[in-house]
Amino acid sequence: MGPVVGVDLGTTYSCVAIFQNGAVEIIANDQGNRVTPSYVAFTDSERLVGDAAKTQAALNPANTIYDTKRLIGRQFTDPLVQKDMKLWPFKVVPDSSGKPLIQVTVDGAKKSLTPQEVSSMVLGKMRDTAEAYLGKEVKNMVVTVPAYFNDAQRQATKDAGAIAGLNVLRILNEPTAAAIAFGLDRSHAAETVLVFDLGGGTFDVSLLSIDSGVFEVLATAGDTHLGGEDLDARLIQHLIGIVKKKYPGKDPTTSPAAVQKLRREAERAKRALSTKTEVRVEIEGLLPGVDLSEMVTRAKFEELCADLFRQTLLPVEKVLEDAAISKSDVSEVVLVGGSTRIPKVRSMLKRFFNGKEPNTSINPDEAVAFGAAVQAGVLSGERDKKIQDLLLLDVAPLTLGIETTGGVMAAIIPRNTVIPTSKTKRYTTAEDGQVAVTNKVFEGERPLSQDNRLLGTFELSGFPAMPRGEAQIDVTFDLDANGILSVSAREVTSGTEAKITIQNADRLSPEDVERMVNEAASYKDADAQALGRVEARVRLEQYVHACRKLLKDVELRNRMLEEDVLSATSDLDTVDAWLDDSGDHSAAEYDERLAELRDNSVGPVFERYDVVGQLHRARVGLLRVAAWRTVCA
Amino acid sequence: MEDLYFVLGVPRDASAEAVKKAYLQKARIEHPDKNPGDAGAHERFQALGRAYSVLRDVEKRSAYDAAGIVDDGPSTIGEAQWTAFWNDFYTRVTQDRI
Repeated sequence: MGPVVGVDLGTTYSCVAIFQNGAVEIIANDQGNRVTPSYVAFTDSERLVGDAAKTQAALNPANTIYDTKRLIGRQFTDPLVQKDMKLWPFKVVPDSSGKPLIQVTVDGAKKSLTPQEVSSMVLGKMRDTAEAYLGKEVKNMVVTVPAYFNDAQRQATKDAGAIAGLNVLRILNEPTAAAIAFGLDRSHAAETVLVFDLGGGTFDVSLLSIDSGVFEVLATAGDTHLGGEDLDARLIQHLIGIVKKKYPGKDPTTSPAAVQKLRREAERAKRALSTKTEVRVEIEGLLPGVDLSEMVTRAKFEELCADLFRQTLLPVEKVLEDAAISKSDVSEVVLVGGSTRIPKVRSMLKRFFNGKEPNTSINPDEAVAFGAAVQAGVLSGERDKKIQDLLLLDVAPLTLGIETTGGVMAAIIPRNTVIPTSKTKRYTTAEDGQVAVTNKVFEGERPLSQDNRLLGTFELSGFPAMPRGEAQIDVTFDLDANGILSVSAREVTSGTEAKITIQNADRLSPEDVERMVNEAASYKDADAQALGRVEARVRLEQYVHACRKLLKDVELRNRMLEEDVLSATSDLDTVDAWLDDSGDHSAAEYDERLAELRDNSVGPVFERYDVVGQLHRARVGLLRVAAWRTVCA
Repeated sequence: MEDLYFVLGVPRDASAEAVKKAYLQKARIEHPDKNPGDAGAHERFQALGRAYSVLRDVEKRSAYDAAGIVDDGPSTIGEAQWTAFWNDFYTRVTQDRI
């Protein structure tokens, strides 16, 4: 099946890793970074993903997309979507069925993208990073999601992989992945570990028992909309308030570029406040005539976010209660996610666990990808004694059930049930001659179904008419290892395999996925062209650089005729001017110029002085510098 | 109905510790991740899970020991109250009494 990589698809950053030769390697991207911003941007000529997209965010705010993990699998009317939209510089609109679409301008035309498509671009970038490192095609992935993601969010994440042409072998829960990273090399006796995973956009708490290679999730809880981004937002609001007070009549929220600058500086200040007690936020020219220079103390930051910090303790209490385990039975509290670097978060947890110091032994940014890579190794059948005995027993985060009489939620699979699992319940008909039943599938913990989330409506039809109460209908809920639900049904007395349809408002139809796969492929062509163009330009630039370097060599200059130096310099100047003042050319044009230089102008000159070998060495030296420009494929 | 003790391969008087150990050992063998391409593993693992979910729970285990079967347990809050109500009125049917 080829290499299987593990990908942590984060709200703000993503990370890819592979298990090979008995160890996990975190794979650095083309910029040499071990984590890649989950950003996608559209410029007039290119699509950018990752570092390149984030770098240009303030210059191109309306066409730079991020935070799609906060949209995926949600409805446009979701109050959290409505709230987030206020701080996003890109436009979000509802589609005909109420799902959010992101609107950007590509080549002067409006283009709408689903959150799945944007995520597929980030996944594609992670694949390319892995392929460049491994030198092999990568088709299979393990992708992580917050443990508390619901069925729709998991489905949508799987669809994102499909759009990128990838086979998502497993949707793995983030805190479980982090627990593997923590427990893989520990040879302790049985331990009960609490994973506290506060990332960029989501928050998860899982309680696990780790015993000789078996990782058993006992309970999980969380908030799919709480993370570093929310802390940034508080800081941004604070700074906006200050600007409005100092410059009456000026409102930074009217300028997407200003908001983007504030976002960048707020994130920077927040990070700095984890090690310093105060930091100055300075933005010159935030708006025309508006400069911001403000001291923010750690105490102020903690005050702004106090309620958010307090919120993180609720899921901790919930998992302990669900698993019936006391605080003192927890052997380690493991911190994951960048936001766990915040001193207040650590001190609060320490106090909650009666003075127990949180465990910071794993890298909070890379642990999830690390664990995903280990699970990828297990699934790819990697023969290694480290992982041969490893087994993950994960659980369903939310109760799944159907609506019964009076709008009451009847649980079929209770939360924290080990997956994969299936459960069958028998139903009958309520009326004589009834040949169809309709049921609504819900997920959630509230006793009334109207307070829970509707997953879909299933209709069971095609069984023979019978007096009421005689039909015996077995409804089976099957939850696979990814935490994704399928429902099947069978009428027993007649033996008919009844037809069943699940209509999930959030699922992409196979036709939608296929269309998006084709579009993604067309991007790939455009990207490949852009890449070819950039490579050709770089080849030409390298050649010119190498020539100039050679001309500076004293020994050579002493033996060269003055007219040769002049003609070579002038030829190089002409090419440099052409490179500087004109826009993008085709790969063929760059190659033509290169051939002209090499075969007809400076090349033959250097040949006369027998220094072509040196020229070649200079070019090789420059190759390392040439990765300055990112083009995503 | 399958004998839950047989599914886990433990005697009826096995301690909670022994039940857990047997489950983890069998889970390691039967988990679908360990049996790629074997469609039966899914079902075998689920049978293990069903047995363990009863035998790990003191209340459910004693109900199973007494009656030889186990119901799924109340699935709504209303049902739970009704079950408690009827249990107050009638003594439970057990294998011993039969």
